[in-house]
Amino acid sequence: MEPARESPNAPSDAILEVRGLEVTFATDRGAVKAADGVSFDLKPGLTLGLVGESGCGKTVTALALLRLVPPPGRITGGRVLFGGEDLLALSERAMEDIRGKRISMVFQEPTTAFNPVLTIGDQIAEALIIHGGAGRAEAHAAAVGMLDKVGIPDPAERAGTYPHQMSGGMRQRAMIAMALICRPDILIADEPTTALDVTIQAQILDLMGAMQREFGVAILFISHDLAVISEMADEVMVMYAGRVVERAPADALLAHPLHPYTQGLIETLPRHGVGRGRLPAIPGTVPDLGALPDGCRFSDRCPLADDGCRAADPPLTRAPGGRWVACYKAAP
Amino acid sequence: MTAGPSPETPLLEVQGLVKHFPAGGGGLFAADTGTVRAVDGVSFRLGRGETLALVGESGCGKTTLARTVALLYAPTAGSVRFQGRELTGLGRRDLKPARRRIQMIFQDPYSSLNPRLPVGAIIAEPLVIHGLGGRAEQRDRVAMLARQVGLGAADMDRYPHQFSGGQRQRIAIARALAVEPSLVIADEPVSALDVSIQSQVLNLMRDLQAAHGLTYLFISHDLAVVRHFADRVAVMYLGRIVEEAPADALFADPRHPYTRALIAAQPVVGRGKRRPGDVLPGDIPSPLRPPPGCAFHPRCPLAADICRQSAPALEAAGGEAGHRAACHFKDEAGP
Amino acid sequence: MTRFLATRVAQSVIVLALMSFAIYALIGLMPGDPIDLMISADPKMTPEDAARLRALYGVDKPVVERYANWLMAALGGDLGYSRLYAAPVLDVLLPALGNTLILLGLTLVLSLAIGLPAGVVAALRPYSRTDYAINLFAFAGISVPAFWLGLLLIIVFAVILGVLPAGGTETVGGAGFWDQAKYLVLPVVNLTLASVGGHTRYMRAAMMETLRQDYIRTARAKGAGRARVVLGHALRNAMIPVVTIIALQFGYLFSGALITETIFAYPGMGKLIFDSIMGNDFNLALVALLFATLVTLVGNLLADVAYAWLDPRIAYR
Repeated sequence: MEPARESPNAPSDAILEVRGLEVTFATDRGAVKAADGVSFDLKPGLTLGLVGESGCGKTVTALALLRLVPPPGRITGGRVLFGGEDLLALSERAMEDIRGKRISMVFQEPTTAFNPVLTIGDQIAEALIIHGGAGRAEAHAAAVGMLDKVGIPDPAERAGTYPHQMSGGMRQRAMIAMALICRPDILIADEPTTALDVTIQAQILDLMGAMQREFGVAILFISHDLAVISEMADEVMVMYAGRVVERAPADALLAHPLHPYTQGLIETLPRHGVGRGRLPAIPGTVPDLGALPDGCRFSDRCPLADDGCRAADPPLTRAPGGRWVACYKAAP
Repeated sequence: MTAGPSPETPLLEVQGLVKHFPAGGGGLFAADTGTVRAVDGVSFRLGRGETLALVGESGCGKTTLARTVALLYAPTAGSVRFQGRELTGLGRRDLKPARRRIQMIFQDPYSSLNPRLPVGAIIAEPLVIHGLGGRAEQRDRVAMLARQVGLGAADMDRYPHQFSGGQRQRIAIARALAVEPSLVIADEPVSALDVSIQSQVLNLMRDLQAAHGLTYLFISHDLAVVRHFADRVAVMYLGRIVEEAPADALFADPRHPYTRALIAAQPVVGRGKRRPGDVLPGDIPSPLRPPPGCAFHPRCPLAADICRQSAPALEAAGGEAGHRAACHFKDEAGP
Repeated sequence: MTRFLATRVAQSVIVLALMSFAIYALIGLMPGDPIDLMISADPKMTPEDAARLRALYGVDKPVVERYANWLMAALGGDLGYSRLYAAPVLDVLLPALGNTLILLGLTLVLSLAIGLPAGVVAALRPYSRTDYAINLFAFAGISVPAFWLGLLLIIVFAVILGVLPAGGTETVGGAGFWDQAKYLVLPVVNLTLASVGGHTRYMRAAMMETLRQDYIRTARAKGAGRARVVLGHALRNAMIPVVTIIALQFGYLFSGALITETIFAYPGMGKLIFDSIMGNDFNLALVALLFATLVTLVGNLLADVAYAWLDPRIAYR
């Protein structure tokens, strides 16, 4: 696929442009593309929601932006344009200057994402020491200030505690403080609330919104939960089996999904108004990347699929209203 | 079985159930560090063919309650009556018939299935344990169960790791149904599954309920799933039921501030982008040291002096029959 | 922490007491008693004499009573008399213990100084040529029997090259520190080669496991470079399991010392225990085995302290 074909925005408009990103994993059964031709833009101060089920490539895409894909995975194609530079072409040393300073990340499991033997304060201050050349005392003071900003009570005292001494919600607040302490342009949040209880999730979602308003950071918000995405995102991108199948402004996508997979995802959600009784379901199972169907990857589960769908994979094409969809059957 | 229970007897009746765990694991030199009050006085009834959902956040005791009812834990105090018969205090042998009628489905269908047994043997295992039927009979029954949960005959010789998460949960369901239970306790049965698979499994559970007249005790943290699936809902907080009602009544007219907060905190598709709102402050307290009075008072927007002093009882609330709430202000208007 | 230490010390004392009884009872099971030895040394002795002597020395009493008598004397500072060396047990034992602790201490320091960095380097580039080379070296150390390696070292360095002494602790009419150091080289090298492979492998495994953890990814996402990730984040976590293994190995190292000390005629605890058992020197064997137990217990205690220092999650009450 020619990435040049899809450039919906003027370059000045986007802070990050991803074009044709491809991540390949070497497996026993040969090479498998976990992300295959992923393209999108991030705009300053806005949130792009990335939604999909397990194995759809959403986490791998996020890690690829920071070039942190774990082996045996490798980035095998595409460009990640940030400030006029292709991040995929930078030296590892230059990439270290980007990570945590210009683009930072919040992970799913606040329990395991912190180093258990270092204090919270030291771990937050470390980013400043790495990037700002700040002294220990200065960085520590800044860390305490940031803990205060993310709503941790007694921040000075909490900075001296270890991760296991905090609750899950507090740890995720600290994780956000750590990600934002260098005032990055982009925050990648990979399932940041999935491990949390629903009332704590609400607190963290509110905090992320407040931080975005304060710092103007662009957020790539990744979740399997369409409801969370719908409350956080300005624009939504849906991935299926390594491919972007639909991308659209959030309201439009949720009100009128174009791709049959997106439609299925929304319909299967149990929600108010749907009577008790059987739920609409997407038949079949989430695909195995090593054994994809021919043509469109959703064709074996799709109610609309015909021979054309099974013959060739539909490209992501422009639809009215600033939307993109990869489906031959999508009615505009 | 002699004189069967009268039609009015609920299938399951739990009275003042308490389950405490010693904290800190014990041991020769370990200090006594207190008691985890995982379930702290819970009462409810469950009628035949009904689905009761237990909802709540981590540490609320819903899983402990489920496992105590499933006879996996011995209760610290209280009574569990099943089909009119008291189960607490019974010995292993006397419990066996009840164990057969109460089956459980777990959240993680991988760790709850023996990886070294083929699926056919996994489904047949409860039949073998309870000594039901001869070999041929058991094989026929396994084939029938497999068909009912949507598995093929060829699947019976394969091993759990060869199946997807959704299929594994189907296997677990078939195993639970093998011994013709009356009560199925499902602990977060769809939480580990992908969204598109969740609805398949929920539909299957509903079909099986109709076909076999099953009663479900359904544990979940997901209010959207519960609203869709349950007839009645009990909301738990720190080891107690704080509100219980028919599902529609609970969502239409929640009387406990915690229930209201849970419903408000649940993200919903189609509400538009989030506006900072009334989010419940603070963390869930430890069941090791529950706050005095009403355990919810430190986070409660309505908390007054009385809430810090006395724990409210679970009493009739709202208009609907069977709607109960444990809040000193349950009769005040909602927000 | 103080309370924890007190508890652990108390536990160690109990273990030591139980071990002392177990060893006492086991030694009592050995064929022959001191009186049999006297008989074999004095053909004129009659069975009546033997019975009289048995009663005199209390050898005919039940094992529990004999043990209680021994324990009371031991607690009073009287650990008995070595028949073999014709000296009080402690006078024989303490120099040997000192020698062994020097040997083990040097071996441990050297083995860790080589093994831990080698393990880290191997873990940083798994399945690379460096990794394979380090693994080959480690497995060679683990697989080669210590006695064979010891003989090889003697043949090469003492017999062929003649640069190092083959055994003992010092030249007769000794010439100070450097002279004694020369005698330590081969035993220390022998024991180090036998244990460094294990340390390398443990460190490599622990480091590889640690580098897979989520918090390593977090550190990298913060912009931490390789050195900071390894030294600042991974090393301390990887050391936690390694410390446990080193502590548990302390007892194993002790038995390894037995072979090495025998080969190099090094007068340490291993050789002493061996000689005392072979020579039916009950008093000496008993106390020597107890000291070996004590050293292992102290090693484990130190490991627990190191553990607490490394891992803040361990709350010692």
